[in-house]
Amino acid sequence: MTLLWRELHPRILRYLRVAVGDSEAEDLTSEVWLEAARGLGRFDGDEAAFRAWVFTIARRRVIDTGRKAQRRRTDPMSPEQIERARNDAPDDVEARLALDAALRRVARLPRDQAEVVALRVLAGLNAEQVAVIVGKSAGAVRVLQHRALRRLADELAAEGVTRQTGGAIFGVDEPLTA
Amino acid sequence: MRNDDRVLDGLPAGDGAESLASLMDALRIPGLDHELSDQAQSVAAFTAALDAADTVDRPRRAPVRSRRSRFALTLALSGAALVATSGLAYAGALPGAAQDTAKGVLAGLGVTVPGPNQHARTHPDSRGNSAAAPGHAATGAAGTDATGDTSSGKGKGAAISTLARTTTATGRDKGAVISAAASGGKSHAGNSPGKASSHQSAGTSDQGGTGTADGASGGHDSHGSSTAQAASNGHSSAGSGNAGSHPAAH
Repeated sequence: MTLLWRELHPRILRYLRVAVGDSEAEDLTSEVWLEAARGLGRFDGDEAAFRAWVFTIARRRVIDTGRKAQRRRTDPMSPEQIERARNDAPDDVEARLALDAALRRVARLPRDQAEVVALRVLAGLNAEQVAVIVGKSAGAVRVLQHRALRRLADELAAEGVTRQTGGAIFGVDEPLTA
Repeated sequence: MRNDDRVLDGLPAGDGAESLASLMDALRIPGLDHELSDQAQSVAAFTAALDAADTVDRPRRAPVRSRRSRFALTLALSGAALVATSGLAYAGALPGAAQDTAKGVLAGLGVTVPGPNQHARTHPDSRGNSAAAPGHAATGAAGTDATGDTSSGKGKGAAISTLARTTTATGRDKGAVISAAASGGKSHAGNSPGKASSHQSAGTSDQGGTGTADGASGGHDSHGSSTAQAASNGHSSAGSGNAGSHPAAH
């Protein structure tokens, strides 16, 4: 159970940060776990199916709470968060800042594109599984992910980001406010 | 499109996709300390919710299934009753009032079924006192059978039985009285042999009359009249009346 939680919890939390913003994500993540616990008796399937099921719950939570309108808000890191991050281990700080920057980039995508990228990457689902969750065809999901990646690539190219310079861009030099 | 899947799945992508690959790698990094900081609390809450769901869900689901089953059963039985009633109405086999009602209801649905009297031939249903309807025998001594024959049936048997119980005659005389009444005067059972010489049954009337008297004095309806018929060697119609199932008897 602990291993499962350690594997899935960060992914759910990141998905919800993209979907509803940082300030709401933690509470919603807790609600997702509680709902999953209550409904686990009805679940039947393997680990991949469980992952898809949990992210379906998360997505429903996003819709139910009506917070999609706030999705594109990119919460700036508070001074306390920055200070706390600086107190983390150096590797962890770099990873955390890179993660935050990446999440904000995805969150700035159009809503349906951001959702597809988040489910594909964070939930680790393929296009067919994402299609089931979002109620679209697999072809439509592939179109959305293509547009999303092209858009992201254009942004990164415009900023001169390459794999070699990515560490700097996704690291502490990346502006932390939207 | 294929390259998109590789980038998103974390597989090596083609040239020009390095920056995208870095972005996806950043999204995919393992859980960080601040993300896992409340692990113990969250796992405990999840486990508690799991236990609570186990204990609460089981008793709660049963009534739901039960209500669904009851609803389905009720629906099925109602449907079956409707079909059966409609079938009977179509065949005109319902009782008169029910057939009349069914005819009215089904007519509203565009289905034509026979009325209550359509299959009655010469016996249409007349509501009210059934005794007033022709051919319907009322219970009691004055009743008639289905053919309208008043000389036979339960009524006559009852009258003979009453006579057997109330007559003041005894022995042979009682037998003679009852036998004569049962046979409409044709029987001379109980009379002396000389008086009964014109009838073939006279030879046996002594014993028959006595037997009839003995039996009749017992107060048995059928016994008195059927014995009277035997005593009159088939000339009495009382037996057929009592038996009911032998309307063709003499």
